[in-house]
Amino acid sequence: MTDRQFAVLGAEGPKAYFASRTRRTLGHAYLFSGVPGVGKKTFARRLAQSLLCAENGDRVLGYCGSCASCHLFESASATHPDFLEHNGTLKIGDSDGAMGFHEGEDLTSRDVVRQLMMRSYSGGMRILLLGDIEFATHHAANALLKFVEEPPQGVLLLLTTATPGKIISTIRSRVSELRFSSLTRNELVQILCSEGVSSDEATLTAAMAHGSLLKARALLGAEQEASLRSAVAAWFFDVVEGRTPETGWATRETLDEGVELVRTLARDWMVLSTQTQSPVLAGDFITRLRELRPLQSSAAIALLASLDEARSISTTNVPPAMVAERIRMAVYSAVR
Amino acid sequence: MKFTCNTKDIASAVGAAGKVVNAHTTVPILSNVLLTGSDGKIAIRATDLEVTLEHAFAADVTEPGSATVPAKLFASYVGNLGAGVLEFSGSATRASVKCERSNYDFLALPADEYPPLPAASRAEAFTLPAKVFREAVNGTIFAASNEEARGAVLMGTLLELDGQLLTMVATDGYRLAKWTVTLENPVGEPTKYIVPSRALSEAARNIAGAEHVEVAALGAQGNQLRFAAGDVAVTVRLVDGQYPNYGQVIPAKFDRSITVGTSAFIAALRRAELVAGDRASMVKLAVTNQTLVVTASSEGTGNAYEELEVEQHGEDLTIAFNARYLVEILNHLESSHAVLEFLGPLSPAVIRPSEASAAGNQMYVLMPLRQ
Repeated sequence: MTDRQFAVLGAEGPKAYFASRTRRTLGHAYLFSGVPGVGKKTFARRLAQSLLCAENGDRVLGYCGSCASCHLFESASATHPDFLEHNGTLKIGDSDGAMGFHEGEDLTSRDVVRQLMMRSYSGGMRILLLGDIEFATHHAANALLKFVEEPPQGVLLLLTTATPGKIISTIRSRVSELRFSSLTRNELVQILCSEGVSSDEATLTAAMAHGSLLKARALLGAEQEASLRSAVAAWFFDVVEGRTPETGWATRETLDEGVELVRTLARDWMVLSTQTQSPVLAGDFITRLRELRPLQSSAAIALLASLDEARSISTTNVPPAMVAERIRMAVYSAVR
Repeated sequence: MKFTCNTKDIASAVGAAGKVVNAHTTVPILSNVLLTGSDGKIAIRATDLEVTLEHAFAADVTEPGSATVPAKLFASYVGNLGAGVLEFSGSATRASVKCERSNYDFLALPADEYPPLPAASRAEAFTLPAKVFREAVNGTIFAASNEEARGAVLMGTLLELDGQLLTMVATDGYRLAKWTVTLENPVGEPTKYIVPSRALSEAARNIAGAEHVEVAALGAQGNQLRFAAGDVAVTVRLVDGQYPNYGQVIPAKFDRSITVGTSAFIAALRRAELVAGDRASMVKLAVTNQTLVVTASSEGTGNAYEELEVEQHGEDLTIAFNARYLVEILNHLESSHAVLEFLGPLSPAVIRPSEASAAGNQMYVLMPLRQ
C-alpha cells in the first residue's frame, strides 16, 4: 500500500479525534468551529479525501495521494463525484426546481437534501461540506433537520463556522462539534513558506496574523494594511511618549483595524508590564513595547476598558477622529 | 488520441450526449464531453453526475485513447460543419480538429479527470424490448411527484424485479401508476431500484430507435443503473431510500365497476374541467342505469353536465375526482375502453385497460376527492 498522508498543519484536537475513529464509529455530521483562517475547511476537504481514498481501508484519516479518487481531489478542474462543497449562505430553494448535482452558487437546502437521498456515484461514501454555513432563513435550516435526525447510510455532513452560536440549536444539538484552535506561529510560517513566501516575510507576517492563515494572507497581500499598521503603531507610541500626533490614520474604512491594533498594543504593553507568561501578539513591535515604562495594573485595566468602549463607539456614526481622540485621552490617562 | 470520422456521425453523437451537460456547472470538467477511441469506435460521454449519456459511432481510430473538449462549443462547431470527413487529434490540454479547409484548436482538460463510471456489479442484467420499455416508462413516470419538497423517493420510479416480472411503479400520493412487464428470462435475486423519473425519461428518449434495451446495475452496491441499446447507453444514479409499500393502497376487491369508451370519456372530462374552477379541478361521476353522468360546477364559471353510456356492474355510485389526474391516466391507457373499479365514494379507484396490451399490464390507482 502507498504511504498515507494527511497534509493539514495544526488542528491537533480534531486530528486526535478522527484518528481514534473507524468508519463504523464515525458520526454522521460534524460542526467544525473556530476563528476564520485556522484550517477548518482544509481539514474537512482532507478528511473527505481520506474517506474517499481507494487505499485507506477502514481508517478515517490519511490518503494515498495517488489513486484515481485522490487525483480528482488534487485537480483544479475536476472534483470527486461523491464530494460536494458549498460555501456561504444556504437558501431554501424552489420547491419544484430540478437541480443537478453541482449547481455551485445556486445550491439550496432542498438540493442538498435531494443529494443526500441519492446513492453514491462511485459506490463509496458521500460527503457534503457546507463551509462558513449560514442559513438564509429558518426554513433553509429546517430543511436539513430531517437529515440530521435520520441520516441515510454512508453520508457524512461537514459544517464549518466561525460563529457556532448562529447555528440553530435543533441542528447544533444533533451534530458533533469539534473546536479548531488558532495556528501556532511556527505552523503559520511553515504554511506561508510552502506557498513561496520568504522565510523572513513569513516570520514577520505570522507574528501579526494572530494564528489565522486568512489574516496572514490578507496581510501579505495588503501593503496598504501594512502602512496603516505602521501609522497606527507610530501614533500609539507617540501618544504614550506624551506627544499629540495627528489622527490622520482614523477614517471610516480604517477605524476598526486601527482600534483593534491599539487594543493589541495596549494588551501587549500590559503583558510585558506584569511579566506574565502570555505571548506578545504584536510581535513586530516588541522592541518598542519593551522600551515603554511599565503600566500599573489598575491603569492597564482602565485603559483596556476605555478601548473596549472606543471600539463600541467606532461602530456608531461618531466621527473617526473623535474616536481616535478618545483613545488618545485614555492612553494619556493610563500613562499619567 | 487520433481518429477520422464522418462529420454527421460526430455531430449527432456530440449533440445528443451534450444535452445532459449542465450549463451552470462550477466544475470545469463537467462542462466537457469525453471522447474515447478504440476498436474502430468513438464513444462520446457527457454527465451531470446524475445522468450519464454515451453515444458511440464508427470511426477510423489511428491512435486509441481519450480526450475531453468543451461540450457546447464543440457541439456547435461540429453541428455547423457540412458533410465531409473530420480529423481529430487530442491531448491532455488541446484538441485539434481538421475538416477540409477548416482547422480548429480547442482547449481541453485531462481525460483522466473525467468522473469514471463504476464497473458493472454482480447483480444480473436483464433485457427487454425497447418499445415495451419506452411505453412502460411513459405510462408510469407521469404519476411520480414533481415536488422537490416531497423528497427524492416520490420523485423517482420504482423498478421491481422478481422472477420474470419487471414492475414499474410511480406515485405522488394522490395517484399511482403500475406497469408490469414479463421478461424473456427470469432474474436471479428479487431486486428493487428507485430511479429518478427525469433520468428514466431521458433513458427512454435516448434509446428511441433501438430494438432491445439491456439494463444492468453498476457499482458494488448497484448505485447506478445502465440502460444500453446499440450505440447508446444511459447511466443513471439511483435514489437511496425505501419506496412506500404501494401494495397497501391498491384495493384487494371491488364491488362496482364500469367500462367506458376511453376517448369519449377523456373528451367529456376535458370539457367538464373547463368549468370545474379552482377546487382541485373536481368533477363528479354519477353511475346509474348503465349511464355515467359527469358534472362539474363553480360559482365563477357555471355548471357542466355530460352523459356517457357505460357498461355498469354493481350498485349505483357517485364519486369525485381531480379531472386533470383522471385525464392524464386515461391518456396513457393502451386501450379503446377503460375499466374503472370502485369500492365506495371514498376508497381509491382502480383504472385499467379493458384489453390486455402486448407491452404489459397497466394499472392506475386514483384517490377520490371529498365531495
